[in-house]
Amino acid sequence: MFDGYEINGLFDEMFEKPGVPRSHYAGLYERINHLGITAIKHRSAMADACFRNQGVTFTVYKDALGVEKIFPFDVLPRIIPADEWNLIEKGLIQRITALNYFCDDIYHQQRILQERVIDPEMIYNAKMFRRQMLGINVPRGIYVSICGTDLIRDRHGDYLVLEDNCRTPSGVSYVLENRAIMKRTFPAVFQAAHVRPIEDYPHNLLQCLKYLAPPDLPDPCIVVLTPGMHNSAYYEHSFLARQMGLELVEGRDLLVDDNYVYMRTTAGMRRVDVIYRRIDDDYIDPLCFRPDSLLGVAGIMNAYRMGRVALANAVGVGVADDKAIYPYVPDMIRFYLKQEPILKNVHTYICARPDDRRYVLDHLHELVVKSTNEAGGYGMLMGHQATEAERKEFAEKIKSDPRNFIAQPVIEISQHPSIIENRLEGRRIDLRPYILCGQSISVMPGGLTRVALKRGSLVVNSSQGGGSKDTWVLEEQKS
Amino acid sequence: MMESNSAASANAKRRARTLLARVADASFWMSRYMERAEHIARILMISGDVLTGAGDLDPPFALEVAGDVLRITQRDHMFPTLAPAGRSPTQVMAAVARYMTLDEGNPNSLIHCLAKARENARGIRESISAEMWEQINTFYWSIKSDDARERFEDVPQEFYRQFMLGSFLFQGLTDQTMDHGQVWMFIQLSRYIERVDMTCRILTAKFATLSRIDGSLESSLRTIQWMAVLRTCCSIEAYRRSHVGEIEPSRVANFIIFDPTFPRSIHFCVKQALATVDQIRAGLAADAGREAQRRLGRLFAEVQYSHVTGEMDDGLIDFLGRTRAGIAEAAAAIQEQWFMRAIDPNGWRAWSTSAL
Repeated sequence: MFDGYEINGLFDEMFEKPGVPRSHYAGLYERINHLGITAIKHRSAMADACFRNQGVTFTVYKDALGVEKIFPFDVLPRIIPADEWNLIEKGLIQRITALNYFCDDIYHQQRILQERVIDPEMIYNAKMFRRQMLGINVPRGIYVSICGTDLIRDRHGDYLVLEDNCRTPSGVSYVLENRAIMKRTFPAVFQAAHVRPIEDYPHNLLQCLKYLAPPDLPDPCIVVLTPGMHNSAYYEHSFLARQMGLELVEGRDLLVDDNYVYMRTTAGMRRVDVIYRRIDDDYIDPLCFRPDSLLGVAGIMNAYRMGRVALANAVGVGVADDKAIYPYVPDMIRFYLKQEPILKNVHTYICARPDDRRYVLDHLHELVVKSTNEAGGYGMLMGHQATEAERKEFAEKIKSDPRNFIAQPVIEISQHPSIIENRLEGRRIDLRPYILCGQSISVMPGGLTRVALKRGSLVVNSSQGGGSKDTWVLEEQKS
Repeated sequence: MMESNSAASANAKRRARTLLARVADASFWMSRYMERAEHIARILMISGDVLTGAGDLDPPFALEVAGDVLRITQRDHMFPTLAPAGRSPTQVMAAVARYMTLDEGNPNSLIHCLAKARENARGIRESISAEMWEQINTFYWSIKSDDARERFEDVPQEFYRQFMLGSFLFQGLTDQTMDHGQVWMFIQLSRYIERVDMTCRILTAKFATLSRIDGSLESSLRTIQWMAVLRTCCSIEAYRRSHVGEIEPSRVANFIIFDPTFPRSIHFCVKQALATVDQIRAGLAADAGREAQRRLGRLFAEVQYSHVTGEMDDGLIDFLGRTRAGIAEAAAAIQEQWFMRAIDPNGWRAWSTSAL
């Protein structure tokens, strides 16, 4: 089955060298060989049918309404041994702690700016810095309740943080669905591997949200706020609401009266205490942010500022996942926690700094340039693959608005075998674990492993032809 | 005893209070479109079947049958397009069937009804059961699949049967996999409302057509026609059991309209709709829904204390017209009081204080 499988000079998750699987993949390797490609393809088709029938889809914006698509699923799981995971988990907990301190600091004393660890201009120019949040105390002081941090592995197999998604990280529903489907289609393989369970995620998320409710309320009303059916992540919003037993509301279901938030029910209005919102700041309140937004709730920011409703994540957290603030996260960890970062960043050039900018403009052909406020693989230049004209165009963009760009060296990220046609080929992957911050911090063991299904591609985003696979974090060996 | 009662009613209120008006609205339309698709599939199936047997015997009559399909679904303006001079009745029926099945531009086509039912379901999938969603979604994709047109052209009758079975399966799953709370009640309510509306339309079209051409039909064709009316209303077996060996227009009308225990009769459906409205109102303890209750109650009184005498006449058509208008008013009142009223920011204050 693995005949002719190429390692391509990269870090391969499964193979130490051709034909020799790493020890934590040995069991899987044997079982795959035993099953054979026909059986695997057959089960893979079963999995696809399940996704389609259950409507596990995302929407690609092609026309006004969008097209529902299945997120391509690659049945070969990615395996992470317990010791590697322990390190990742510690690193992620450290990171979300620092990010929460940072948000609190930025919207209150701003010590980190006064002590010039970060240039204040970087903050005030950040598109997602929200003046409206200055001096506002958020429930329990938690800004980032839910974080999805993207990790990659370099040529040496070291884990690096590519970005923190602090606003409305998506994808966790696919993690849970992928797992359910894997257990259904490959029960024996799964059972033999001793994988840590992830099914308690919705429960943990609900606890996190509950923690934000006024403490004296015995039965708080918690809802999930979605932009609606045409949003690309609508499936996930619906999935999480169902898993937590919460009402899924749209902006038009809510209204604000006397600075309290209510939802419109068949029996009149019911007060809402906590909102897990999957709408960006920009759209959440037309009176406060974009006046043309039809998705939000007029007046909700006032209710929020008065502490009468909790929002998760807090408004203004975007300042922490601005791509030009990301390079400062290690400094935040040192500043707030007096610790050394456990997980490393990718080296990043901030185009707003003159020296960095000069370097970037001189080395465009070997860098990845990213717009600081885009996501989903949009607004990106892969310097080594781009044409001369594309590079020129980007150089102009950088010169005219340097604050909006960062650049990173091209990282040859790790590969993992994927089923391509009737054989196995190496494809690039990343990992997005999900971190929840409530009374305590918990990291879901595993996360979303995204695959760049196009040969040679480094971009794993679903909107750019990426797929996903189940992620198995192994139980610690009991000695 | 007292205690468990009050606990149960407190429980009912708690559940009732958390139903979003938008969710109630979507569940209502999901169910209505599903029911509509089932009726249209049955109309197409029976009409096709009648024409396969009798189309060549009596061409003018056959054209009327095809025309009835469009009249029932209020698409009669399409008749000249679908039945240009020179087309045989069989060809016309095929064109009508194609238009009513897979034409997405036709707001009453099967595919359009199913797409609307699924769209509404998709908007409230966390409020219905996973089984219901999976069934409606799987069904939708099977009809949207590349080979659907081929399957339809191949054996249209099998295609219609799938719609009817799809609706039955959905109803069964609704009853057996979801909580019989408010959402379920709105699903029931809209199904009965749609059934009354469709049954009135079918009877109006068929009685008008048949009374016009009845005299010119051969007697065997005549019986087949009245049987077809019963079959289109899904009532033939139940009718046969209560009227052994007799197929006669006024009895057919009496049965489909006034039978008190048959779930396809107008009497039964209006009664159920009224009972469901009462049930929803009881759970909400608010004055909303009074108008819907009043209109359904009046309609029920009229249905309960009327019957058809003698031969077919304009009286029957008038009665059906009044019934349709009555059910439409009730539907509008439901829409206004439960789904829309909550959206008027000035209208809710006085009302909600009593509810909460």
